[in-house]
Amino acid sequence: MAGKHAPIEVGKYFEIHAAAMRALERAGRVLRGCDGLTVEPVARGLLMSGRIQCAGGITIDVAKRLAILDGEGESAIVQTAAYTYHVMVDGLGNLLRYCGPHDDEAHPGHKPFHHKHSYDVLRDDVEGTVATVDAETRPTLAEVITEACAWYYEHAAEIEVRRGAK
Amino acid sequence: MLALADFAEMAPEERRAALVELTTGRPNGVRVAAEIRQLEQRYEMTSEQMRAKVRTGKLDTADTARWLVLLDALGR
Repeated sequence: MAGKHAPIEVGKYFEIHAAAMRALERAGRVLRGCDGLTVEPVARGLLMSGRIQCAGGITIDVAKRLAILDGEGESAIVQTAAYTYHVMVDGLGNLLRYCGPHDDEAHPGHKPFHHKHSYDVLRDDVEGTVATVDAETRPTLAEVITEACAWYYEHAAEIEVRRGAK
Repeated sequence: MLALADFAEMAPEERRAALVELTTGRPNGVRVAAEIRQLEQRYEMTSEQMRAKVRTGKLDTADTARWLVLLDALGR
């Protein structure tokens, strides 16, 4: 069975993204009309970029390159080749950031693995910690949104108190 | 450039045309290059200097993570 990050037709990829966003909007996780992602052709494939605004003042900045492995048009086969998903809490700071490996053949040497930066934002942690993330089980963007919103609802009372104090 | 929110609203024929344009269109990279230049100006360093600092652990922020993806996108 293909994994969730396996190569996929680009048309299906964007359909899955759209369906996930609609479901997250219906669930009150993503604010309506606040999927600000765009996609554009770049030298090495397609670049997805922009901001998604979520419930609770959570914003997620996305930069992601899809490599085109084969074909063109809606049946072109694409796969995520580089990404960063940066989650911030309005008025408080960074919550987490998922990144793909930062190095490549031409630029070796820094975090050559999928990883997650986590910040104890309720304790004013700006340094954070870094943990390795399994390449196969790393979250999709929709899963990151769900994780961030779940964190917000779990800590909503404290977050709003801290926002009110600032 | 295509807004993914718009893609969701497109008719099938429009989607097909948009995807052909995306996957066969000639990328000019101007917008991405401009964003890279903005990051270089904001941090007052070249992309290579940023990479060196990231490699040695002296710099590792959301901006640099984005910066690296943009460089990767342009094959720099």
